[in-house]
Amino acid sequence: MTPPAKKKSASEGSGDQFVISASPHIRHGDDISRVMWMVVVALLPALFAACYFFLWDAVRIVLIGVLTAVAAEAVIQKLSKQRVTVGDGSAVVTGLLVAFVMPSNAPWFAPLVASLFAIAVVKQAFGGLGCNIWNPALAGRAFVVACFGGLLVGGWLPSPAQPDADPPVEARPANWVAVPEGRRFAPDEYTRTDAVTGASALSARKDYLTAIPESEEPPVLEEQLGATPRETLRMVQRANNTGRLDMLLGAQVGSVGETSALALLIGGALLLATKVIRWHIPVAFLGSIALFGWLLPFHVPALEGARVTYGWVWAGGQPLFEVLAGGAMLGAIFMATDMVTSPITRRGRLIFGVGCGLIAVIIRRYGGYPEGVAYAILLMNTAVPLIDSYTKPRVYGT
Amino acid sequence: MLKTFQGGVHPPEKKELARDQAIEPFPAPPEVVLYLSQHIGAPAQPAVEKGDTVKKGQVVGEAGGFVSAPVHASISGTVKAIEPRPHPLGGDQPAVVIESDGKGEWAEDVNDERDWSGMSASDVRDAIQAAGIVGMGGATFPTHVKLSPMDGKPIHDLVINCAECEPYLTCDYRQMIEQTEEIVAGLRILMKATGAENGWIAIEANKPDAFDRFVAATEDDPDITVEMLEVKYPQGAEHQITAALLGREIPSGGLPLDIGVICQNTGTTVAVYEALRYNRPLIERVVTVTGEGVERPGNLRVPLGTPVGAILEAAGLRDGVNKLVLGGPMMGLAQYTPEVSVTKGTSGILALVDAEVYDWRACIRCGRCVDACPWQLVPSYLSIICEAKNVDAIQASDIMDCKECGCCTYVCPSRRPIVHLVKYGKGELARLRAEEQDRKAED
Repeated sequence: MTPPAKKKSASEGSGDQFVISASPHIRHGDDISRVMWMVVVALLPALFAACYFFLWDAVRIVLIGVLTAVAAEAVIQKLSKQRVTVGDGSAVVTGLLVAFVMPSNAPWFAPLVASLFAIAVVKQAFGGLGCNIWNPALAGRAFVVACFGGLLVGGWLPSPAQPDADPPVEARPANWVAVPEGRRFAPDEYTRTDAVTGASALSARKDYLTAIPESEEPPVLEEQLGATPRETLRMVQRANNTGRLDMLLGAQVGSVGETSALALLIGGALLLATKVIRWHIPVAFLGSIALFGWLLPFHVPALEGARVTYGWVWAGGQPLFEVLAGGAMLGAIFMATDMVTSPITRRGRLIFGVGCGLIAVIIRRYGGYPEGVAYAILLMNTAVPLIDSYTKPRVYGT
Repeated sequence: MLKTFQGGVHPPEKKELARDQAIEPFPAPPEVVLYLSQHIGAPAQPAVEKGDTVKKGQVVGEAGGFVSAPVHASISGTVKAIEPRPHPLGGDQPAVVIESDGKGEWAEDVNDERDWSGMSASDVRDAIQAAGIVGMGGATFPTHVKLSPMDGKPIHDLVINCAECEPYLTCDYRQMIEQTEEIVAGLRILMKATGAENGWIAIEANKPDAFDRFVAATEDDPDITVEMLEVKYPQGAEHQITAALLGREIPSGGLPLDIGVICQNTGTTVAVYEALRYNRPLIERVVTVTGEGVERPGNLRVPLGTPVGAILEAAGLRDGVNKLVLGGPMMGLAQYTPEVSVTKGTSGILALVDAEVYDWRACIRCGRCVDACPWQLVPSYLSIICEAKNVDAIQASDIMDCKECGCCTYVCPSRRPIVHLVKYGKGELARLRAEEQDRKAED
């Protein structure tokens, strides 16, 4: 070990045997792949629930969604001469989430187009993982709804065979689900069925809130005729007042992956335990849905003869219903927490979550769609740079 | 609840590799390379010439100013050369090269027991300055400067930083166990030199035996408090230790002095004690040689200027070592050659096996860096503007508050070299400011 006296020699000799880099020289075990595959694992309970409730419909939609997403990412990266990174699992997550927000009777091309749009336009065209502004899966869904909305409304097709009463528990098929009682369009066809059918609890409610009396076709809610807004609201609440346990377990009408709140909560617990997500967004989101769901009044039509009047009615809402219905759980745990499209600071995440919940309740209650979670998240995605710039933490010593 | 600070990370400690190895003296090498710049501030000026005979403890480099420190011979022998040599901070830096005569003779006016109790505060500081003592945790700021009163700001708290929060390193820990009394005595000297009323010894909770020893050693001293802190990196950084221990924040761009606090590293405190008690200049230090690539990890008392390669050779290198770090794994400096030598700031020699070269990707905005940053910065943002070379944004940012502790980079799942990018950004800022000054000078 005699150091050479010449200036140059130091870079020779042992020079190339050591790696040179700035500190730190150790890293935490979590990298992008581990984070993304952990999200996939956390989605598995909901995937199992989907397969249980929707059988082959779920398998079909999930396969199309995931394969399209992965293939689209690989092809685009190949064509644009980037490193192909489909192994990191992020395209799989997008594909799964696209499938989860499709109704089970969606035509085969719906998840395909949604995944393609999500990956090609929303993600890759903006620069790939980390650079997208909107949640790819939700933007994919929004695109498909805008293009083929008519094909995506409603839930399952009714079965031609209509038993008069519920079959005994032991005779129910695996995918047996009671249609919400509040659904009153065509009581004879819809109340009981062995194939899950109908509209979600949220769209049933929407029907009450947007009833137009003079049209020939439904929606005409006969029972609303002559009712005051408050009475109508009571009907709404009766309609919503059933099956909280079913809603928790997943026996409700809805998109493929969103029906079982329990399965989603299990996945969420896993993500929290592995620190893939933090609690701020889901808690703020669900808390805000519950709070504003309870707080905001309904805008309820009253039908006096042919005349429609609307009245504001505050009825204390149904916070638990709001949280369990529709895409709230899936949105709060898996969509709004998409790290790329949510704020980077803890305070920002709380604001983001509250905003998502508020917009979702507003759309559900006053908007044109029965469900507003997807649009709420997309809108709040847009606000993320603004939120980030206003929620910088106070720097130490300033 | 143990006291702690906001943010931070907890990497695997890896201290078990070397923590039970008692400090062993490392034999004086045949040749030492004493850099004239082993501290922050002006480099020392050579005080000897080629061919001179020098003895242990003799000044070979005079302090180059107030913010500077002298350099002393760590062995006796002949000055072989004064020339640039590979420096741990990169590049070649002027150094005094001494060839050993194998005698290890001390110079005449040093290494005598003395009674410091009668010395005034300024005498104590002068003695510390003469001994060439600098911050031995790695920052190497001259200790006498740190202890000098500034703008009449009173010092209330003197903190001995026994956190040793860097993984792998155990040199401070061994000194806490083996030299407890010396550290306490050093603290009393420092309190005297600064007039601080409160003495603190702050230890991370992973060293309970050291805690017990300090509690026993300070039983009779009501002015000294021994405190246990949460095990978290960078608990031992000045800003974090004051926040954790005293609940006070050092103002941005300021010093602990601004809030009436002085922090001293464990090894520095021992050096202060030895300088005062034995009139011994800083010519050796305890170095942890460790890492998965070292066969016999240990804690060695090494003469300054000893080539790192010689220490590694003695400790035995395993196959597959591809990274050599001086200091800890979080803030230490990667070396391209083992031909660099031990300086006053070398706390550890770390040989890492299969160190990865990371293929980094875009930020996925997971926010882990924000949660981990002990300064509550948004490291993700800093890394992005530095990567984009967006000078305007860098100038407007709080990049100068970043102390490059590495927490953000440690947790980043995109494997972004955030510290690296921030260093680059700071370099750009410095370049800009220099250009601006040049322009003003021309006008």
